[in-house]
Amino acid sequence: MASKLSPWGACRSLTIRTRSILQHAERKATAAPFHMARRGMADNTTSREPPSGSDGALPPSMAGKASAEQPHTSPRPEQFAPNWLNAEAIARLEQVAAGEDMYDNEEGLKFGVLSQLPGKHDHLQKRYPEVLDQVTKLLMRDGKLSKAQRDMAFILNFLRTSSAPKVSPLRPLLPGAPPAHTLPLDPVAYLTLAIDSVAPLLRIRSMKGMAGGGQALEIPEPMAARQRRRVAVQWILDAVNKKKSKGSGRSMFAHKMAEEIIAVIEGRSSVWDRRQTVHKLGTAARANLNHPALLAKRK
Amino acid sequence: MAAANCWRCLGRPSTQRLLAPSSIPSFKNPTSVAAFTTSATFLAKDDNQERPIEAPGPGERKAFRKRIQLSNDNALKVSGLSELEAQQLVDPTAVGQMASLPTGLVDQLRTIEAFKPTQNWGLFRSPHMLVRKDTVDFLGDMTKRIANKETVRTVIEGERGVGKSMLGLQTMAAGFMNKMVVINIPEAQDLVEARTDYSYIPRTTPEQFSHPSYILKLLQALRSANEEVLSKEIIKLEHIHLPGNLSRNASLATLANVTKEPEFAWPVFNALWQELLQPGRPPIMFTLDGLSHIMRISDYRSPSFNLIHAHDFALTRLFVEALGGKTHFPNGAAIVGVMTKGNWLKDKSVEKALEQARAAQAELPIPERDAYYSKYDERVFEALKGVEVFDVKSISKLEARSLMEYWAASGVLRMRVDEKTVSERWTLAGNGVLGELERVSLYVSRL
Amino acid sequence: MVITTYDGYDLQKTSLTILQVFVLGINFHPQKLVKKTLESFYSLGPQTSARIMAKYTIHPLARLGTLPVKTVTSLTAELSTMTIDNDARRIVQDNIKRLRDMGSYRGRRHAMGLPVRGQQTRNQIVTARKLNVLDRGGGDRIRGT
Repeated sequence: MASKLSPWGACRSLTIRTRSILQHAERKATAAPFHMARRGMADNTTSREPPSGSDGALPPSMAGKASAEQPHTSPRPEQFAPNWLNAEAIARLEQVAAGEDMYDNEEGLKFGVLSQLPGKHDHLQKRYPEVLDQVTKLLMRDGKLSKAQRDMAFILNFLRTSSAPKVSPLRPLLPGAPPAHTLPLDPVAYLTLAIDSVAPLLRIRSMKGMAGGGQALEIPEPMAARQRRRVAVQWILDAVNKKKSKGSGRSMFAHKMAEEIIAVIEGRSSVWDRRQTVHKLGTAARANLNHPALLAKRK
Repeated sequence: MAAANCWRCLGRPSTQRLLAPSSIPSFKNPTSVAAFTTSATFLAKDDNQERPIEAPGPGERKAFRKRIQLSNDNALKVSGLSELEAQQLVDPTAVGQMASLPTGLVDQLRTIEAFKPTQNWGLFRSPHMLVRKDTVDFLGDMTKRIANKETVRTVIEGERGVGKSMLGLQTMAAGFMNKMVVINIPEAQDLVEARTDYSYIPRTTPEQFSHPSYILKLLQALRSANEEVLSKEIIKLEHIHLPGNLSRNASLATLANVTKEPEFAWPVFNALWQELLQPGRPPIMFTLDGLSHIMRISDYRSPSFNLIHAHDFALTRLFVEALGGKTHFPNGAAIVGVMTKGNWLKDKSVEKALEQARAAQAELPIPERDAYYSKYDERVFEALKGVEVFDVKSISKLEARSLMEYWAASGVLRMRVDEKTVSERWTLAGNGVLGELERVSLYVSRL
Repeated sequence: MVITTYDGYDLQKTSLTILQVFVLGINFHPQKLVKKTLESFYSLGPQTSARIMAKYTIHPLARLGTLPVKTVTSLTAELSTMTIDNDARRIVQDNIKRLRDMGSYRGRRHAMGLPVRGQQTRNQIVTARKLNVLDRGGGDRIRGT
């Protein structure tokens, strides 16, 4: 049953279970309607006083099922969203209703197998997506991380509630980007797409005095993903600081920032011009890679 | 040598460009090797930078801050949920169900400002709410007693973020659906913080004050939200002191609409209140959010330069007398004060008064006042005498599951909702504190 | 369907259509705070202005445009009974002038813009330089502008 590691685990779960386990035949008879109140969800060992009488209450999804026992209540519609996520959850619950353990098929692990093993440098504090973490810290001023996080939450919420962007064909986004109308429902992807799309591929490095006659030699250099994102966010922040003030209070800055990100996706933002300028410069400066001074230095 | 069109290899294929490559404006003069200059680009003046930033107009910032959005077209439509009915709010078998708010009810609730900017209405397609155990307990009892023409005097208490204001909203929804006259003061601190105008009410001893424009706004909101009930009632008293001509058969809605001048707002409001207290009228529901704010000395000053006690304002006095049981309601009434924990200076008088009310309710010995504390406010004890205290508790896992299924169906919560995840979030949310559950579920980043 | 509500500002906006408000014959912008208006008169500080405003039940954040006309009139009446502005300024200036005319030490120090009450003058006499002048408080306020 619950734990294969300790023989006492099975006994413990037997003592907790106050209702009889449904027999297999019984499961077939009541195949679809199962009783959620019998699920044994009440393994509640917390100190907080639980709202009393919650055992008798049925969740809405189960309200229809109750009609078998209580004919006077009118049947209510099935309230699970019809998606595969819930289908899987329902399958598990049925397993429980049949008297098996929820995670029986998973080699005796109480909470299943991790879908992705933690990497070498992963630790507990890495709870946010990588881009989110980096951008939040770039928004931070005077070490006030908490405020930056609040701004970030506002930005994501704003992206979620504003209408779907119209992508301009003149400013193509990253290849393979999801369709624009699906973006608001995944604000992190929205933000990531905006930043990654507008991020420059390279930067121009000035080598002092190498062109001869005191002139600097400008050579293009590729950047890592993290660097590129940083530059993109800095550009976006520059554009944001030039915008008109929007309301007062905690959401003023975040509101402007969120609008700029939408502008980036829609190709209206001035940040695209900066990207283009850098790329043009980079293309032009590519010739400098074969400059004698540079070649000499390489040797 | 850099080719003319080569910089494009750094760009992304655009449909437009792929279709008509010849139309692309290319570099006519390719840059020569090495000793080129880019200073022209750098020195070029950015006109955008020079433009001064305009300041927002008066009131614009606050309007933005206080904006309440009740729908989100991006969120998925959740089908299969029923519309909220009055019966559902008092039915114990309905606990844990999500229900959508009917459009008419949404309009009424919005008019009396029952929705708050801090609540997450703007994330979902249309307003829905969870019928929780506390809702059914509170409203079931209340509805039963009002039907018997009793007066329910309750203070809604609870931890921060546990859903006190939300229960207040559900109470108002029940009031509207049961055809009560609903009066709501959405933010009690607006009345004491000296942010809105006030004036002396002539011939009152001890002197009383009113909030002319606030009461006018309240009156208008009250009239438009309760139009259906008020327009059926005909005035019974004489109102010769009011401006305008009120005919004998005028309805209460007309009475509420008789003035547009802040100066006459309080007399009209008072007249309406007196009318509502006549026998045979519909029951009254008077709710106030942020009760602790009106249990102190306000920031306003009287003409003799003394600070005015919050209970010396006519509107708060009306509420406080109703809450303290001094007003007799022949038709039944619900007087509900919602406490706030988000912004509240702790006050020993309020705490002690509620403690005593709680003890009286449970028929336990009444706790004594602290003998070494001399600053107890007698008026606070008077105002909270004999009230019932309703403690909003945290939600159960079943309710949390129902809520999370709704969030997932709306596309806002992007995770699998099963026993494990529900249990995990429920625990993260301080064992089912509703506001915390929203924070850990609806926000990717920390809010 | 997007349902959005805003806090109501119509009340304030309608009364702000008045272009100018005259207090004691002086023209002020209707957006100006009543408190600031009162304190623009010489000799009225935070204490006095707060008391005057409490007397006419004006809240501290009230703007001139939102006041009823009769309150503005009674404010003007109240102010006209007080010794403020040019009258108050002249009293101070007369006192300094008297000291100067007597040829007293204090009068001389005022004329020189130096500390009057025996302070050291090696450092830090900025306040004295600012205040100790014969026409203290500046020139007269020009009426009606």
